Amino acid sequence: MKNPVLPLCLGLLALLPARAQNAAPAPAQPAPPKSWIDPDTGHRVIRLSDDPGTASLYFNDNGYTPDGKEMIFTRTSDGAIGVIDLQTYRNRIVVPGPARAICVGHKTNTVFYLKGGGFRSSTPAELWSTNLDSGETRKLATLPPRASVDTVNADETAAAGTYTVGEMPERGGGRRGGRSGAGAPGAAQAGGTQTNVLVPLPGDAPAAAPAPAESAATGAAQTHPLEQAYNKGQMMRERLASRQPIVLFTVDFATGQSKAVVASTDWINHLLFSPTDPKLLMYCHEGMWWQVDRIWLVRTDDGSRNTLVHKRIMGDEIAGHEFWAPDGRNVWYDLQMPIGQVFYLASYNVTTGERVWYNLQRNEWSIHFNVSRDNTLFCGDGGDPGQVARAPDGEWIYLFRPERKNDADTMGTNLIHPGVFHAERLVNMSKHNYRLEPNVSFSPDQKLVIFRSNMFGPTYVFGVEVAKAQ
Amino acid sequence: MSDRGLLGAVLAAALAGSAAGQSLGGVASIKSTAQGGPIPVPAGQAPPKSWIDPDTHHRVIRLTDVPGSASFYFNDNSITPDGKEMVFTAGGGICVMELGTWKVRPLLAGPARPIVVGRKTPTLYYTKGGGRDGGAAALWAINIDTGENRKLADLPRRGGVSSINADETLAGGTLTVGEGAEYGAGRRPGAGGPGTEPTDKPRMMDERLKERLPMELFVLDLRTGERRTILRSTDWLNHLQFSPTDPGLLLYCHEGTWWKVDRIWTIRTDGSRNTLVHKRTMGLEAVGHEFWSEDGKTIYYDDRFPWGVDFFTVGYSVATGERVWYHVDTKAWSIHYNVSYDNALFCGDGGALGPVEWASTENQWIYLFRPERLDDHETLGENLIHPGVLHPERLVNLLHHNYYLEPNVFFTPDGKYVIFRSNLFGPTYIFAVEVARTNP
Repeated sequence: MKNPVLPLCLGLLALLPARAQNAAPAPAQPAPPKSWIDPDTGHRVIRLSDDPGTASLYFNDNGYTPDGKEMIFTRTSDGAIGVIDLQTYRNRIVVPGPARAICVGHKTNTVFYLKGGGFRSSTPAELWSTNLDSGETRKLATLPPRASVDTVNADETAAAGTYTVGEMPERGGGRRGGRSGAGAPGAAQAGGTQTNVLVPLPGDAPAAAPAPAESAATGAAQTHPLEQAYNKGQMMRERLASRQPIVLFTVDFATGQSKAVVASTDWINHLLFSPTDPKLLMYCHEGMWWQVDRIWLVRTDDGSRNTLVHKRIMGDEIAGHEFWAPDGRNVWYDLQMPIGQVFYLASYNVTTGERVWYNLQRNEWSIHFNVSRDNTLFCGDGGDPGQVARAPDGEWIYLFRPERKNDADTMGTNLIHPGVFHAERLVNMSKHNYRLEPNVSFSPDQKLVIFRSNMFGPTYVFGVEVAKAQ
Repeated sequence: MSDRGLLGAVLAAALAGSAAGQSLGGVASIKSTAQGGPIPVPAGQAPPKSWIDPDTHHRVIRLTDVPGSASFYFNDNSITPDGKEMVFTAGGGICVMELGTWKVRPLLAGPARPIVVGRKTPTLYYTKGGGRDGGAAALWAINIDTGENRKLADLPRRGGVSSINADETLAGGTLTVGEGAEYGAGRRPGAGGPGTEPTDKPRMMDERLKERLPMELFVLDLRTGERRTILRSTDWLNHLQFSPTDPGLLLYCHEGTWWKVDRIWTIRTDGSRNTLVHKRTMGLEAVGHEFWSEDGKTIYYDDRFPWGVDFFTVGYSVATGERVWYHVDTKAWSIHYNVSYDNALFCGDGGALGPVEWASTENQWIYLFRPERLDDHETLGENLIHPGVLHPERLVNLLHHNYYLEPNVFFTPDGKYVIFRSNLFGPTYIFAVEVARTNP
């Protein structure tokens, strides 16, 4: 089934031609090169997007079509959503802005997105979908007041989101709407290119002196809608302390009905459905990572098996930037024990509970990691010296080859399996400003690591070839 | 000290060579000096009595003149309770050295196997007789001040004692029940000669571990000679260390390859509160080389998390169960660590590729470590491990040391020196390095 057959009650409000609009703002400066071989790494880098101010999705939100041929991007200037053909790199706009992209479905070539709503808006947001092939566009549901939706499940029958109960102001809303609350007005006005927000920023860690820009920041000091706010740490601490009642809900595409799954005074955020199990949802307790038990799994059909994925055992230990393996078997996350000292990429098998921890060197630590479809390769987007790892030489896009250590003869039960990553540098990011996080992911064919970068000033989508150039 | 006069031309050249290797930063040049073996000493001359390490600017002093003299294993106390003297072995006998003046006097002719110096009286405890043939040994004590020497007890067949408690009323030991083949039956000599680690140690360890020979952990009353079993086990019991302050508390280990055992335990001398100190959570996680802080409050150990990849020096409070994990950079990892009497500083003896699969020439140093406790930042949770870091400073370049002999560092009670044994001039001598840097 290429397109979900939706009940009439949802309405079919718009049918937009998929290739209709491609009105890019005039570039303010000469376009950067379409392709080059990084002299420091020997890997070919390809600029995948045409327009300045275009970005790939947040690293753990799926932006690739199930057939592996296309990926979506967002455009800051008008909030439009476009598609990149991964063979020809041709760009086209499929959803005119403003729209806030959620993800591409795991079953059909469909993009899901939000329209309207927003933090200061009196009207609720609406959940829409557009088929990337036919352009068929549907309104799936009107969300509850103050609600936002973050993720669509594996069989594209439901989405999950959160809404805050009561009238307390949503902290941080003045900057960019948290996923826990409505989208920020700035986001709506800017065109909603943000797909994920309020990622706990390792750079905010008080373990190290705050960046001068951060300590000097007053109020909402965001410089660009895609970038991390300078005052994010403070905003997060305030929001966490407010313990506002919040409801995690699902909205059924067949009926348009919302159903509460979890009610909590923990700050719930970062919802991400399993890519294969339609009723398994990962979500997080948002906040500074050492002040929350962050990563959880819950069944969305009945709210059962609410399970903490990682129990911290050390002061200042942090776990976060979680993502699903494409086969849905493992949840992966950044683990630091403690923050800024010892680095692992950790996995948790959602069926068996088995864990693997891959050790990383300081310079190789990355703000985000990702895994290839066949689970044989990992990638990372590095970090500048202001990030939590304080890496002196970490501004690279990385490829990692995992090595499991043979621990078969270790005495004990339910032991974590150890491993190490062997890093290869793919792209020199020294010209990149890490306030914009590159957000790596593998292309479906694993031939490219795709990321966003401002290394030429405006943000574009880039891909770097996994194989070294001949 | 007329050290400069004693710094011979050969040594000067050799040390200058190693310094040049460092400053060039060339791995090849470092390697070539490392592979050059010990620093040559001209026939008829003694190695230098003292020098300032050109790479670290710390003064190193050779404390002994007798080739083959050695300080104790890092966690066995060799220093008298008044902090003034240190016992060491030389030529099969036992000598005493005055700390600071480094004056040496003989204490006991061999053969004798020292155990420890008492925590309360200036007494060296040692065993005589017995041995690997299975014959019974006897426990003896000699007063370091008066030379009064007395036999305390005959030891059981296939048994030995290896620790003396804080008030010197009990010895702790183990015995093997039955006739099973003991560890080291087919021992091959170590690559570094007598007294060095055997090259086939892992195989021997695995074989002994699999035997699961029945063993007894016992305490021996030093006044009556009465022996009391406090634990029976088919785990391989070893590495007994009484608390330096609590006479009723004993640290002991399950011996074996470290990831194949739950190694570190404490037990009361009445057999109660048998407690696992560290529960491993990771495959190939390995803990060991445990030692007491001088105040008896903390047991420290090396946690390889996992083996060969990442390293913590862990402190475990025996009273509260509180834990601190000090992260150690792999490039400063050491075979043994120790802590100063005031708990302010740590030291380490480095390591080398060969005996240690993850070490490199980067590790061939005696280290000083400054511990830093990291702020926990109101971390959510209970009974959390406290994070920390050990910041290394290099004290002595050991590129010429053959690490099949482990240097076994410890601090002098005044915290002014780190003492270790080394074969960097060929034969083994005892050395001290000043904790304070010399003025360049």
